[in-house]
Amino acid sequence: MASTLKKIILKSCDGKILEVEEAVAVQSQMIKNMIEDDCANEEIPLPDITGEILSMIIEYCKMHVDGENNSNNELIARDADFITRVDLNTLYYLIVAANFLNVKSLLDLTCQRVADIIKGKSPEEIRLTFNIKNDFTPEEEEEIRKKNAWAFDYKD
Amino acid sequence: MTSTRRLRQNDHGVPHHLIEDILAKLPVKSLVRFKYVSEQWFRLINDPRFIDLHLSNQLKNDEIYHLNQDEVIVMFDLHNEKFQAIPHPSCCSNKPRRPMQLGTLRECLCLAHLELDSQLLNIWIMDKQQQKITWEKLYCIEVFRNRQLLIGPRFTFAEHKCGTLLVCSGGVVYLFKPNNEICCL
Repeated sequence: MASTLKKIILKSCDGKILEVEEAVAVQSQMIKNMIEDDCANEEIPLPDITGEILSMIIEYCKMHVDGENNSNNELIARDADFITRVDLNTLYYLIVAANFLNVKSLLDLTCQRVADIIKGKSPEEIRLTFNIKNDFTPEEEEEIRKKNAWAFDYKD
Repeated sequence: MTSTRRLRQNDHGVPHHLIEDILAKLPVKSLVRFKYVSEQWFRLINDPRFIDLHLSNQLKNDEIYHLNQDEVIVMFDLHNEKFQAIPHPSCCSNKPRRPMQLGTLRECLCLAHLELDSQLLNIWIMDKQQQKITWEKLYCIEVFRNRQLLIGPRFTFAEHKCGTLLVCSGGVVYLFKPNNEICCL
């Protein structure tokens, strides 16, 4: 299995160089496509991903390659353990990077985690979290609130 | 990603189409509330294309169960669109079938099984780990009074938070309290 020992070299936007086994790197559909097109023989520059984020993504991919023979439940538990250690700000960077590198399972995991964090928030808190300006007039706002009063009961 | 609005990024650099991916994983109640975050979110959450995306996420692991005429539990997997028969709790599988009802308690599928000879109502709760199905007995209740069976062949059941089981049969609601007391409503 010579191909699994091949290393792929990734370079983050802050100049960090990471050597990754091919089996781990191909968890990224983008890198997989590059390897198939024979474009991954030199280092691959990743202009929008910092070394810190890249290391986390590689940790995640490695965990999935190593855990290939584990049960689904074990993988779910490991995913949960991985993702709960990440704060909201880092999650945003992970989402953008997972999207760019096209690691579908990590994109799902990170988006679900953000959804779980924000689901109980009020619209005001959401505006603060995502830095969104409220562009409704007070009358429009009142009307939507009235129509959907049930959704503003925060008990669950 | 056709208009400039959709390419706009927020302070965290999360592009709008990824915000969509996040919102598509929220419960409906949160989405209804978040409609009024901004006009852009209002349009997005009401957009039929977004509603489809949200629905396909919700259906990923969903299944519908029903008990057919022969009292076989049939599962319909909404994601794969496939039917499958699933096993009963072991004690109910060999005997001739007795009145059974499916329901949900604690967000899990439950099978209520009325044992006519012993006049017991057994309620089993299903646990599904990957493809393996196991049943655990949640309630075992005596359902007769003055030698009369309280529950008919058709009934529904629910649970109250203090551990009281509610069973509705023939237009009467029976409360089975944890201390074995029975009340009628």
